[in-house]
Amino acid sequence: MAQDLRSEYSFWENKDYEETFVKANKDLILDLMGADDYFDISSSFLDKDAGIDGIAKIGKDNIGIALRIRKPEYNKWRYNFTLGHHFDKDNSQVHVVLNALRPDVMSPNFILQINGVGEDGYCEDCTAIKIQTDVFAELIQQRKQDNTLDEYYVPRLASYEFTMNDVFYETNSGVDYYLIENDTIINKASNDDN
Amino acid sequence: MTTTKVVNGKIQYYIKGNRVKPQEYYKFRSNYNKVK
Repeated sequence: MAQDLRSEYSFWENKDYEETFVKANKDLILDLMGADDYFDISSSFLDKDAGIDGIAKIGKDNIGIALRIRKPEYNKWRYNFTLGHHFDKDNSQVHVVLNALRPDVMSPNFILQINGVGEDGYCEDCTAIKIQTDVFAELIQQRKQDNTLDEYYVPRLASYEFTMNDVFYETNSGVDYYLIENDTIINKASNDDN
Repeated sequence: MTTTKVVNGKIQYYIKGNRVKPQEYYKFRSNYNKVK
């Protein structure tokens, strides 16, 4: 069984942090997604079971979003993309991602991770990673099949940590990085440009 | 073929040099062959 070396962890404390961010910074989510509106469904069964935290409405398209935010104290990993919990566990986010390859179940269409978000939801100096889930799922599937997925697992964080290089250059499309200062997007890098 | 620009904190979406709506950009891009 995989090790989980994290200190005490509160699911609900983290949910409060995420909800504070959504309330304080909905406009930033809209800007990052190019969305007209965003509906928070955090703590619903779709969040718990399918990993969908919210729905971004873009024209007539409704896009499921897995929203992740990470505190500034994790600055060391500010360019990383994270999947929580080891694959052996039922609540591993790896399962959520791999569901994107199944046409018979719901999964988030995009994963939006914002690193460096303050306790009050403010983004003084943040990075954001937006990944089209099915693109990433194919990559995860490959890593699973060649038995290299565990090389990304960090027991202290109980998560898989993927660097920018891991996701940005291993896919042809669907991965965007953004730099954010004072709640405003100031720059971007897209692997479409590779 | 697709690209984006950040202008005054907002993302602008382009296909083949033409500015498009975000949903058109996402739809076009999702048809790519994705993993190298």
